[in-house]
Amino acid sequence: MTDAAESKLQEIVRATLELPPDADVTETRQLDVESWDSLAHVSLMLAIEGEFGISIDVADQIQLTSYAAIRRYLEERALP
Amino acid sequence: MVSRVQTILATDEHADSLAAFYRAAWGGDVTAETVLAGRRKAAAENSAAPGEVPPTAIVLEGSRVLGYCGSIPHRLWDGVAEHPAYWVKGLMVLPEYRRGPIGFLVGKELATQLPRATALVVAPAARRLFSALGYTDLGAVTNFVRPLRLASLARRLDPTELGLGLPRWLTASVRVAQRVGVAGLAGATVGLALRLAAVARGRAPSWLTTRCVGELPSREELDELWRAARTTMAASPVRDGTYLRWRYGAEGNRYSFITARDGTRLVGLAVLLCPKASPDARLRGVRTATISDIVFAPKSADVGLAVLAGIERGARSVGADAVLCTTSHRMLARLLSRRAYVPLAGNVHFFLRDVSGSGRWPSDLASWWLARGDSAADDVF
Repeated sequence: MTDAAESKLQEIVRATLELPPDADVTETRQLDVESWDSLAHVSLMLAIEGEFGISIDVADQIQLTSYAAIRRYLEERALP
Repeated sequence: MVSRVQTILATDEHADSLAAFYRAAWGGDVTAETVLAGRRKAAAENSAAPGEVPPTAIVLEGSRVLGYCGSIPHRLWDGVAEHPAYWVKGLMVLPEYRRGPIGFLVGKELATQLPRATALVVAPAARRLFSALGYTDLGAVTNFVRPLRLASLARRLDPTELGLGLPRWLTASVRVAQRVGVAGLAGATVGLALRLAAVARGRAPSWLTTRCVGELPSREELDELWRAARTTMAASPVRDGTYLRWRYGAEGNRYSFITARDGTRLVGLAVLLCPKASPDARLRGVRTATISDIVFAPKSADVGLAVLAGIERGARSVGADAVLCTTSHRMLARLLSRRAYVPLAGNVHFFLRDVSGSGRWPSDLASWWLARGDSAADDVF
């Protein structure tokens, strides 16, 4: 994953989950973030799909419950 | 590529999967046969689309249901005509899939199937979800409580939990009174004052006869009452004889019915859910009788006061400490105030979504005639 793509992903996660500016986005997990509810999850998936030009299957969306999982998912698809 | 997770409308073919989901989500010994029987009954009683099974959206992984959102048919009055509609009811996701996309997916699937839908929603996350799905949040429906046995209530209630915005000196005084054991006496005194206030400001007229009975009036009488009442309502779920007898007629002795008559003509009705200990932390342990439904012409204040007086007598006779009325309508709220009901901050929000373009719905909640029993919400606070 390029630095630019990673930076964009962090920006999306931070904005969608309304994380504070000094939060370490790379350690973000749904379990630890109260604002990461059902609606935020859908918003996050839509934002990632829009930014990276992909369609994330619902079965995969269910599994993407941390920054690390999302990053790995994008890397496995060689994006970008 | 077809996903292994699909969002679809449930059919009879999913009876086994639905039964397993009901057992996992709500418990009980539901079987495929009881699911099928329930679907057939719901189709036969469907007032919005007669003969059709009310839509249920599910998210399936293989044969396993991960999320569910059901609907209950009803009809809505818009001041001119009655329109078919559905209550969205029972949005549920298996615990291990919560906070993911499942809740949104079932809600969205159901919304696409229902051109006109209503919902009563409590949890903030669910409220955000409904707003995102295109429903309009008309606000929280206010709860009103009429203390009947204040001596008993004063010994148990936490005044700071009631959301009344009471001054600090007053809540502190109540706490001290509870500790030293004089709260009961103080409560009895205040209770007497409330009763006198209700009599002075909300006296029921003597020319109306109220009775507390165990059976609903006939469907024809209820239809006539509804037709007369709706003419002065801007918006309301329909409460005709068919609905009232379907909703409350087969529940054994859970409900009492308060009738108000002008001579022999039925002019007002209330459905009172028998008292039980309230699950609300603010009303801990209090035996609350709930006004599940109430029907009278909003312009007829005399009738409303008579029905409310009848409710209080009925509630006392079955041992209630308090009466709970949830209403949005400005006229009923005024009458409740005259009968010494105390408003509590509401937590049940009313949502409306109508993409049919045929309804004329007021956007202010105070114009809607809503009650606790709508969407079977009389069991929760």
